[in-house]
Amino acid sequence: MSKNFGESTTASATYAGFSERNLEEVTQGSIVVFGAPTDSTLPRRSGCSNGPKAIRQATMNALTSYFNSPSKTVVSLDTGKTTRFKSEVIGIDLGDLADCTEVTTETLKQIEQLTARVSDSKGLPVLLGGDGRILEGMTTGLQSSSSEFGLLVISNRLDIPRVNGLASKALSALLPVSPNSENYPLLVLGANGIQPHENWKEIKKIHGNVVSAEDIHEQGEEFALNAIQQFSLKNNQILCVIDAGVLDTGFAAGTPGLNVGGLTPLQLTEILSKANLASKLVGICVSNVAPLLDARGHTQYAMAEALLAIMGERLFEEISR
Amino acid sequence: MSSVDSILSMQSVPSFFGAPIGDIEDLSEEKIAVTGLFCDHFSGGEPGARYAARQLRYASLPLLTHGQNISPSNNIIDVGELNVFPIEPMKTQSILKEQSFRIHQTGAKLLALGGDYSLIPALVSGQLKARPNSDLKIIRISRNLDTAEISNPQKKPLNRSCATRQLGDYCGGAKSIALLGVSDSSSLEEYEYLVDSFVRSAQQLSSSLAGLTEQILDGLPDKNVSFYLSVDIDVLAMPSIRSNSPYLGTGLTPKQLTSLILELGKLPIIGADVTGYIPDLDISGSAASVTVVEIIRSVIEAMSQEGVLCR
Repeated sequence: MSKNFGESTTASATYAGFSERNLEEVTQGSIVVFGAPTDSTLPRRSGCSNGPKAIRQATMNALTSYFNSPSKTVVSLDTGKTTRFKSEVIGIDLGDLADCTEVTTETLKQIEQLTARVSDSKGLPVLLGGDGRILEGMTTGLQSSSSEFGLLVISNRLDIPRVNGLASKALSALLPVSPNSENYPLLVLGANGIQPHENWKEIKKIHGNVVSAEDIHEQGEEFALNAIQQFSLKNNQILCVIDAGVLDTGFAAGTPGLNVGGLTPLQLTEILSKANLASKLVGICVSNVAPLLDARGHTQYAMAEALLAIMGERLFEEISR
Repeated sequence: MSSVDSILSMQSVPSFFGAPIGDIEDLSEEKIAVTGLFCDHFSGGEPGARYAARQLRYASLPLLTHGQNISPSNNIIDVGELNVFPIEPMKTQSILKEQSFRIHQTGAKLLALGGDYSLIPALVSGQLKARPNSDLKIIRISRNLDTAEISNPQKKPLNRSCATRQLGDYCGGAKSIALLGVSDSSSLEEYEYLVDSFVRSAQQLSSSLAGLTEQILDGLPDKNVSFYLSVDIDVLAMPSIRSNSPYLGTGLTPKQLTSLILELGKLPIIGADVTGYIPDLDISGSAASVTVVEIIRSVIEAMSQEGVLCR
């Protein structure tokens, strides 16, 4: 953890220094962060219940250079660029959902309602997890509120996990797309390891696309960026899911599952910062961060960097000196 | 001798690289006094760097016993930990300055290990007091600038975020400082303080070290200078070692860092420190400790070299 965030570092930091407010105060264009501290269940490793808090703290650490600057501005020695953190952005941290230690149908309902209300108020819901299953609540909430959106999933898996009697669900099943649709409603980046054949088939059936971690290792980040560009052309609204499980375990051990051959944190942040999706986002979900499984704290830090990268121009602006 | 006797093998009290344990009367010119800093209390972040010196003493022993090529210099003496007052910053600052002064008065060079960077200005202050006629410049290897405005020095005399600026004040301003390996993103106001200084990012250094020392000297009006070398382990790229600063992205590899330090050995280095290492975060057991030991070894080697580039 950083030693440089002024003297105000606290264990209960809000996300990026956003103010703690209520749902009623959400306005158009505001970024609305809320956490779902749900743990994973067997056979996956537990520890995700501390995810939202760890992501908030890691984000403050990642923004240390900005907050050490009175003008919230940093200089890049390598590129010469000067970037300012937009303090004027309306950011709201609603806190974490109470009494949700595991994912249940009730938890998913709460996430759905919260997402829908933020989206109805024209805010951008940002969900901090928590077990990866929380994505289901967010997609349902957005479907009841927004018009059609594409689902960009950055994960090593093609499904969301089984929890508490809720069966595992293919990512394609989260979208109400007809099999004949010409849309390109789903893009999965970073898939790795053995995946059920059925999930591959279902994604192809809805004209989705999968870019594996191996593709990115072999063909570079440009390959993933091209896929995102194609996806972005077809979808005016995008829900982005960043599953910490996409990262290689050697870099980020704090996830419920293990991933050998996953992406590096640098690959992830490079892809997200160059994707330029900020203006199209209708929601962001960060999941599967289990800080207690990573004594060095790399996982939450990598995810904090990834989340800042995807929000890009919503939080930062380049200025000339 | 019984068979049991032949198996028993006793090790002496661990010291840095197995160096002789000594006191101030054992110091003289050409000696390097290696000391530990059991203090990380004034930087506001994650504690643990205070245990680095103890861990590094133990970590350097297997390297000796297994015959690796660490060739400890015969000019180093382990003088133990410097005295500190963990909850009294004013007293800590004062006593560190006094101890540094007394060590440097013997003509020996001081190498401080462990602890936090916030303590280093006090040590340099003592060094300047002992050698008032020396033209001392600072070479700082870290990802952070640590040049925030100095505020309320009476209340907070030891403050990591402005430690480099304190060093600049002691040594004649920002031009006296060379900062190497800094993060690609640095606070605008902190960077502006260093606008006339020699600053290189980790990425710039990782491409080439050729001519680096000459460039540092070129920026100085008088080449008849000596240098203080301050190394923070936070300059290393993740995931090789985690130090007290979170860092993701470009940084130096251990090999690049030791090469950089050895390159700087062309300059006359009369004092040094290695701070910022937290042994508790070395979850692999001792891999990071051994890496830091190697880095310290290169610092000792650099301090032992003649400064060939200075008159």
